[in-house]
Amino acid sequence: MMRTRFPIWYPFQEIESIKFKTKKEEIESLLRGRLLVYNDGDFNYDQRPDESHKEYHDRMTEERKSYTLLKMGMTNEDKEKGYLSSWFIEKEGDLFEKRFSDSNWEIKEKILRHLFPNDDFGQNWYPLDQLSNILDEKLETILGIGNEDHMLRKISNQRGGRRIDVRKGLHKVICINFRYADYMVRSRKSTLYKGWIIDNVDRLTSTIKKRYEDALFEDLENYKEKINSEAPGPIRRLTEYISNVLTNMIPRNAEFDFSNFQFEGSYDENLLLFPPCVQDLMGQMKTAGYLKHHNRFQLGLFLKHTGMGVDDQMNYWFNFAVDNLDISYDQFEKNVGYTIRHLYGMEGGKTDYDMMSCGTIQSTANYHCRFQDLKIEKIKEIIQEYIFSLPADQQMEKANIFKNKLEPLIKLGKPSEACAKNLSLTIPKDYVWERISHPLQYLKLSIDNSETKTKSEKNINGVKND
Amino acid sequence: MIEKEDKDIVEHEKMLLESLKIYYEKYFDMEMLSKLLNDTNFETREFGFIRRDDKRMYRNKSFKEPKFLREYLVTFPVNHGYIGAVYEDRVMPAMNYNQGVSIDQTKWIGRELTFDLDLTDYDEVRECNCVGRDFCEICWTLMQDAYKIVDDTLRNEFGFENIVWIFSGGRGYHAWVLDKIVYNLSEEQRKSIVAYIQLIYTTVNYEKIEDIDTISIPLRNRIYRYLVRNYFLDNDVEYLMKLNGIGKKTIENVKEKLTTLKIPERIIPLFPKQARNDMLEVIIRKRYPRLDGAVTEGHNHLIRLPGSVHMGTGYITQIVDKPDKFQPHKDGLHFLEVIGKNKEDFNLK
Repeated sequence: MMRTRFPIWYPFQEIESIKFKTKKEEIESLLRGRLLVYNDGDFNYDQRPDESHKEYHDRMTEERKSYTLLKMGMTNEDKEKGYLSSWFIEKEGDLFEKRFSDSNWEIKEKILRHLFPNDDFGQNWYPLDQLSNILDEKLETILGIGNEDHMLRKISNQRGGRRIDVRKGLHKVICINFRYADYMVRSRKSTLYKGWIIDNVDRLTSTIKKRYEDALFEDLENYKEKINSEAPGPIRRLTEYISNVLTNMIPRNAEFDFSNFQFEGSYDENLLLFPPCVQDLMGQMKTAGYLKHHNRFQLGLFLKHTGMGVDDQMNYWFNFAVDNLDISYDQFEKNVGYTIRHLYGMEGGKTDYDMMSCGTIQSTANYHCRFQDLKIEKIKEIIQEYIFSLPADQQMEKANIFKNKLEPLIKLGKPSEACAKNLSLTIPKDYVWERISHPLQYLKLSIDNSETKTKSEKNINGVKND
Repeated sequence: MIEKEDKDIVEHEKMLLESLKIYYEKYFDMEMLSKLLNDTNFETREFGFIRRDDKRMYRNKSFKEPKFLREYLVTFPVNHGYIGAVYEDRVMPAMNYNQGVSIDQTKWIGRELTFDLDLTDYDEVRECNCVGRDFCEICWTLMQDAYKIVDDTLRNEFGFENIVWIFSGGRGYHAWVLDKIVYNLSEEQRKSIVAYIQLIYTTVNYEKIEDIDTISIPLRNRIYRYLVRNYFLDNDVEYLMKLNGIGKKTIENVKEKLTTLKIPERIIPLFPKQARNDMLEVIIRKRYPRLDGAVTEGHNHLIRLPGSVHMGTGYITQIVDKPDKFQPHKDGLHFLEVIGKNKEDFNLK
C-alpha cells in the first residue's frame, strides 16, 4: 500500500535539504515570488498540464526555498518591535487554508493527523467511523446522518439550518476535540457530541487553520531560538540581510498612516468610520468607564494611530472613568495612565507599538473582534439599532445587505470577510472588498468611501481645508 | 438594661465562635475535600477567607498541607471560606517585611471546571414572594431545573463524566467538573463552554434571550424535556393561555399527551410552528439556568470552599447526591446541628 506523503508546500516535514547559492538577487527574487503568491492567491501546487516535470520540480523547489528564506528572516526580528512574524503567520495561514481546502482527502487526513497529535488524553481528531468505535456508539444513527429513522435526525445539531453536511460522503465527516475548536463550540455552528465537534472537514477549515497558525507560531519560536543559539556567523548575517530586505519590502502599515489626519468633529461624531471592534470598545468605555487590559491596549493603540496625542488620550479615558466610576485622578493614573504612556513608548521598554492586525486580534484570547467574539444575536441588535437610525429610504437596502450578505458570513465563521461586508452598511455603495486584515485598513477604506471623502482626503494629506 | 443586652450579644458571639471552632476542629471533612481536589498540588492552591472579626477578605493564602488549612479555620473565626486555582508557586499575602506572592505574580497551572448557580440571579422571574437571600420550595425548583439542564449538557455535549454537585450553603448550587481533561483548559476554552450553555444575558437593567434559531437542537430538546414539560404540567390552562399563539385546545392536548409520552420532546409538533419560538423565549426567561460566567471562566475567581460553613445561613457547603430532590431547608446540614446544638438557639444575622 502506498503511503500518502505530505504535499511539498506543507512546512512541517523532514525533507532533503535544499542547497542554493545565496546570491542577493536570487534571495530578493524568491521573496518577491512568495509575496506574489500571498497577494495573488496563486496557491496551486499541482503539476500544471502545460508544465514539464522539470519545470514543476523547479517551481516546487522555489516554493520551499522562498518559505525557508522568509522563515529565516523572522529569526532576526526584534521581539518587542517586530511585526513581521505576525504578518508571516497570518499570510501563511491564509495560504494554508486555500491549499488545504483544495487538497484531496488523503492529504487532508495526513495533515489532520499531524496538526491534532495525540496527547495525555489520546487522539484529538478522528474520522466519524473511528470515533464511533472509540465511543462504542452508533454515531450515524445518534446524529441522524445515516439512513435511519427520520425522527432521530432531530438530535443532530443545527444553527441557522446547518446540519452535518454528508453530501460528499460520510468518510469526510470528522471529529475534532472541543478543546481545539473553541470558536465552533461557542458559536454552536457544528454538532457537539461527547466532547467532539463533528462536521464535514470543509466546514471546519477555519478551526484547522487556527491550529496550523498555532503550530507555525510554535515552530517559528523554536527555530528562532535554534538560529540565535546555534547558527554560525554567515547564517546569522544572512538572516540579518533577509530581515532588512523584508522590512523594506513590507513597510509597517505605511499604507495606513493617519499621523497628519484631523477628524471633522469629535471622535464620537466619527464613530461610524471606525471598525466595529473599535466601535464596541468605545461603546463599552462610554457605558462602563473601564476596559480590561488587553482591550485598553487595543483601543489605545488604535486611537494613537489615528493621530490622537498622549494628552488627548489621557483626557479621553479620564472623562469616561470619572463619569462612570467616580474615581480620583490618582486612581485613574494607577489603573490606566501607565498603559496609555506605555503604548506611546513613554514607559517600560519604550517600544513604539504598532496597531495589531486583525489576525492577531482574532487569535489572541483577550483582544476584541465583533464578528468573532459577539454572539450573532448581539450583533444583530447592534446593527438593527444602526439601521433604524438611517433615513427610511436606506433602511430596506441596508437590512438586505445585512441579512443576505453579512449574516451568512458571520454564521460561516468568517470574521474578516464579515467585517469587509460591514463597510457596506456605513458607506453609500455596496462594498466588494474581500476581507479586512487590519483595523486601520477599515478606517482608511471607510474614510475613502464616505460622503465626506473630499474633506477627508485633503486632511489625510495634511492640507488645511480652507 | 442596655448593659445586659450588650453582655448577651457578647456571650452569644462567644458561643457561636466556640461552636464554629468545634465544627472545624472535629467535623470539617478534610477527606472529602482532598478527594474532590484529587490531592493535586494542594500546596500551591489559592484559598481565600472573609474573617468574622474584621469582615475583610483575605486572599492569596496557601497551605503546605491540608492540616494547616484546618488549623487556620480553627484559629481564625471565618465567615466565608473560598478556594481558587493552582499556581506554579505558593501564594502568600504580603505581611510586615515579607513582600508576599500574589496570584498575579505567578503562573496559573490549572483548576477544576466550576459553575455557579444562584437564586438571586432569578429575582426578576421568581413567581413566589421570595427575593434576595430568601427562597422557598417553589423557587428552589429553579435550581433543580438548572441542575438537570447543566448536568445533562455537560455530560451529553462535552462528554464529562465526573461531575459533583454542591449546595453552596446559601441559595444555590455549584457544579464541579473533575474530569482530568478540564484541569488545563484555558480561559478561552472555559468561555466557550459557558457561551454554549448560556442563553440569557443580563447586565444592569438589561436582559436578553438569545435568538431561538441559534440554539442547538440538543439544547432545544433539553428545554422541551425538562422545562416545557413541567411548565405545562405544573400550571393550569388559564395561566398557560397567556402564552402567545397557543390556544386552549393545544394546551389541553399537550397536557394530556405529556402524561403518557415517554420522550417529552415528541410534543413539539403539537405546538403551532409560528408560536414555538415565542413560547420558548418565555419559558427560557422564566426557567432556564442563569450561569455566573465569571466563576467558570476566570482562573482568579474563587468559589466557596466545600465543607466550610456559610455563616450567613449556618449551612455547610455540602456535596449533594441527588440535586433534583434535595431541599436545603430539609436536607441541608446546619453546622450547629452537626455539632449537636439547636440552631434555633442562635441568631446568625
